[in-house]
Amino acid sequence: MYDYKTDIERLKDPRNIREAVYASSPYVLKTTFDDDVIVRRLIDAGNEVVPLIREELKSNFAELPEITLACFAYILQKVNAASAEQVLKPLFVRAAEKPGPFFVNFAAHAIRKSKQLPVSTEKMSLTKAELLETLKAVQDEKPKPKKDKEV
Amino acid sequence: MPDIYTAAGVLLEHVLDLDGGVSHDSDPRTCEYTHFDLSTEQLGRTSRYNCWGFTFLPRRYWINSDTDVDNILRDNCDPVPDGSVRPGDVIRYRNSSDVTTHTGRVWQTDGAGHATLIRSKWGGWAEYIHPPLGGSPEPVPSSYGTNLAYFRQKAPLLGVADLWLQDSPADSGEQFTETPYWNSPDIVVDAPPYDGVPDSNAAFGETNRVWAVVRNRGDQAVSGVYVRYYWAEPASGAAPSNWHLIAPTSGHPNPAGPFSIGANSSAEAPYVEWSTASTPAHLSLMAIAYINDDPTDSSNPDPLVYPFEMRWDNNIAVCEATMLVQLQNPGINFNDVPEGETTVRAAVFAVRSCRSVTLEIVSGPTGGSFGTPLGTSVTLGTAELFNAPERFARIWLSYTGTNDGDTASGSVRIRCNQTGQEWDIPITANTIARPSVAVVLALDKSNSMNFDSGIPGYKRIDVLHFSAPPFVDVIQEGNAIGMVSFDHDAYDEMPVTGPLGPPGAIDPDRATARGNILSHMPNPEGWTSIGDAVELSHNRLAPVSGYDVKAMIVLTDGHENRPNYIADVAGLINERVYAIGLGTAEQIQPTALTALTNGTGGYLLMTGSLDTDTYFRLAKYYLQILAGVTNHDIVLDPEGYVAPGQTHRVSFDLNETDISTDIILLSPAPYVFKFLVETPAGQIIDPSLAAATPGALFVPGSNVHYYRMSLPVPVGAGAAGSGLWHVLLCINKKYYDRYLRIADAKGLYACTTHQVHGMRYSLSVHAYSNIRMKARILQSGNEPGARLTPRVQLTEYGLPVERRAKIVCDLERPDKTFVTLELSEVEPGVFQTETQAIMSGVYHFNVRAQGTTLRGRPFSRQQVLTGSVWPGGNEPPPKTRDEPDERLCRLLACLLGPRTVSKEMQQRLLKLGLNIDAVRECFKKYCAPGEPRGQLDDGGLKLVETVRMLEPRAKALLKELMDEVEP
Repeated sequence: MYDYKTDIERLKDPRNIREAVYASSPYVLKTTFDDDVIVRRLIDAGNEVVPLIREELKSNFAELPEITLACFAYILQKVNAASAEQVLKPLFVRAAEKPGPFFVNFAAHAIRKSKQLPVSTEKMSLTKAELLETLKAVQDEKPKPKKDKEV
Repeated sequence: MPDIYTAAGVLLEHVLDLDGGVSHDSDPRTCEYTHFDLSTEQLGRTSRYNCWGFTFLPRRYWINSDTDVDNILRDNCDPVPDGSVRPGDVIRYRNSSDVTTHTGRVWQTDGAGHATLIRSKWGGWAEYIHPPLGGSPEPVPSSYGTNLAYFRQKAPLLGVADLWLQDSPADSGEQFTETPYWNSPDIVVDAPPYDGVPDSNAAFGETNRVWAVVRNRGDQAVSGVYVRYYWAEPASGAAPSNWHLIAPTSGHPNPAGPFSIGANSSAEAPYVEWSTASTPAHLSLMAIAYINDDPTDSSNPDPLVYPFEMRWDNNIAVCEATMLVQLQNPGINFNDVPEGETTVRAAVFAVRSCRSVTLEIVSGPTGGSFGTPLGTSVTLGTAELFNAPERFARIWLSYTGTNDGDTASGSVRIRCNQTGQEWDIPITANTIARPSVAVVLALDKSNSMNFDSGIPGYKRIDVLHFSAPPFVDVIQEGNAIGMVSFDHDAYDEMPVTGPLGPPGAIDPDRATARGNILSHMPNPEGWTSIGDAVELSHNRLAPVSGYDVKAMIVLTDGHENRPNYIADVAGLINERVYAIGLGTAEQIQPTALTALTNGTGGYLLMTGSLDTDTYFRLAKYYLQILAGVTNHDIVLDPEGYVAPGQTHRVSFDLNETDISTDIILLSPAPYVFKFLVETPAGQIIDPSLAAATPGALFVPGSNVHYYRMSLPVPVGAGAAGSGLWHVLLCINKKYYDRYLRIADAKGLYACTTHQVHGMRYSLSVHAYSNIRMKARILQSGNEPGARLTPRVQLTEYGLPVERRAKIVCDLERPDKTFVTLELSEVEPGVFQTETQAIMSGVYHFNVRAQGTTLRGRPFSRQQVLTGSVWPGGNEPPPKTRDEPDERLCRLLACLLGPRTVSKEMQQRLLKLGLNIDAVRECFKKYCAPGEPRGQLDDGGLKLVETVRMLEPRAKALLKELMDEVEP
């Protein structure tokens, strides 16, 4: 069985993602993800990697670089939009307090896609109004009944 | 974080004000930033701004969407085609999906409007300077795509402040200013008495007030603005370390400020007091308007982008505070100007300034004889470099020689408009007579002059008889002429005689010279000793005085085969030597002759194989050399045939630089022609009008008729000078028929050709002129494969004819193929080209120049040059000391010496009938240095021949003996 944990570990340094550090916009960053072998391998692995990324985000969100956060959000959204929304919503709310250039856009993009809000399939950059709309949509959600286990 | 809009009012929706300092990781590829204290900082990684923030909002914000960028490019920029790109333009990258991915600023172009270097910020990484695509060690990211386009920003974004100062009156406020960027009108210098009016020059040794006008082209007011003032000597360059902060004084701190500037307005910064040294110097000032100099301070509404980069940062401006203009020559002297010639001299000013500088004559020149041929003012344009080297401005004055012994004096006052300086410059001049020349013709009379010339029915001596007399007829009054002939020895024919009288049949000296040429006949026993001819010519010229130039013209048809050789006597020669080789390169082998002529300022002309097409070649060579020794130039030199009933109309330009002209008609029977000259105004000059016109004459000579006219010619309603002249040639049928009858009776070949084509002529227009053409052939060797380089120098009044002329030369190769070569102007007024001499033989170059004078009038010049190569041409030329004769003399001295022939033996031989003392006397005479070889009697000659016959067998033995005698 392939050790995806190693791949995820490598993505924690954005320099390991081909040309990602040179991206000036979420759109260009997305194209670098699409061209990166590791990112594609993790996407191809499917649901197998979701718990690993979820755990990484939960444990190290504050320390992870902006590009790595965006990359994880992108992988989650590509693998499973529904579960991505669940993972990213609380992190998006936190990030929206002081948004960086990439993660809020990727997270909002995944959330909006899941919520079937209008999204651009190509341009990952959201306007301030779109980000606020997404934030509001997340915050206005009725709390779901508690389950025995957290997602 | 303000809302920021495009020029069309479109909100940029993705502008982020991000935290983040600058990483100081050492990365040598990143750009450097210089602080005011001259400390530097590597602009490493930072997420404060991305490429778009760098390009459009100087390092202030991160623009997070290509949509905003596309809007900026649409509303605030104009597209620029590749090929018209300038530094400072925006480069846009798009990928294969046509989405904008990256931008930067063009940092350098190739001079043809193509970007060669880009400065851009790579995402959240660092600023780099890189080629548009590719590069190393880190190539431009492939994610940016390869679809490049260029734009020029025309308007600032709205919603932000933007401080700036004009780099030059043409500066619109963008970050990059084209040259000149050191001419800011926004830095003001007010020298004492401080009238508030800007002064173009600061006062030396005084306290000057300096302030800046700072503009805000943004639509937001800005406060807390400071200005720093620096000075520098431009010669030391524009590097930050060369700028010195102007020392603050009480009440006038430097930096000056803070102060505020409203939106879209400007404000004067407080002034500083600048005390300059008393020694005049070239100084510049720089002003930097800023809030603070930290490029990473996110609260800075207008950060500097490129500190100390005057042309790149619009917050920085430079101006010249002082210029230096110094007169280099306190007086102007026109020494020894020949009669009729115009000489120019300049008042020279050394200028240390980047600005445009104008000097003009405000009075004079006085004295009556001086002119200003190039105008009364001169302006040096703005310098191309901030640290431009010293430049020179020249105001030219002229003096035209009047009469021998005249003197003139006067003065001229010149002012510099920028500094207000004025100079009074004295001028003096004197006139001397035109330079005169004493020339000796050295004519070959070796047996080979009896050989065919190549022209049917003509021996070489006939060609000489036809070609040399025009030289005697045309040479100007006041010069001197002499003649020697030579075979294996040289002979006096005519002493150097002069000054010659006016040209014409009645001048006895010319008649003598003509007679000598016509009676010059080959010696059937004659060999060729050119060294003897040169030596004798030198000996005849040496004692002659009263002439400015001494020259000899050697005509030969063979290679030197008897001593003295040229190499033996070359060291003696200090006259100008011209030579004409009548024959092919192989026949003449002119190694030493070429070296001799080139080394004395003359040149060698070779005829090559003569044929009917080259009928006039030798005569033209003589005339060209005559022009050369008398400082004339050839304006035009055509040939042709005129049939009865035809009129040939040959045009040529004369202009204001020409002093006099000779219009020369060469023909075997010039009297057959009706030979007229038409002035630019249409006035016809014929022989009788020429005879009646002062300064003009018509001369009929041997095989030549010509007009000689001083310019302008006082004929018609106005004097005829500059303009298009014509020669009119037609046939006088009566004389023509008579000529044909005589030629037919003599069986001359010419008769046939003249019956078919008409009468043959060669026309040469010479000018004594202030436009001079000097042409030379430089050869890399004398063997096939050598490079031949025609090199031509054109001057007008002694100054190079720079970018005003075109020169071509028609090259005729030995195989009679032709090509026209264009000469390049390799330096002002000097033209050159090169060709390879692949085949053995003579290469004829007919150099033709066409151009315009300083006053824009056309001129033309012509000159023939020849080069030659032949197998063995690189062998050293013969020299007497290498001859076996010398060894022979040493051998004989030994054999007849007392060590070999004892007294006893001598007495015994005497009894047998051999007088050794007499033999010794013979050889002493023969071997004495400098003695001509022809002094041996028959017995001596026979003995020499006997010894020569013995030589092969005795060589080894003799060598042994010689070694013993001379170890």
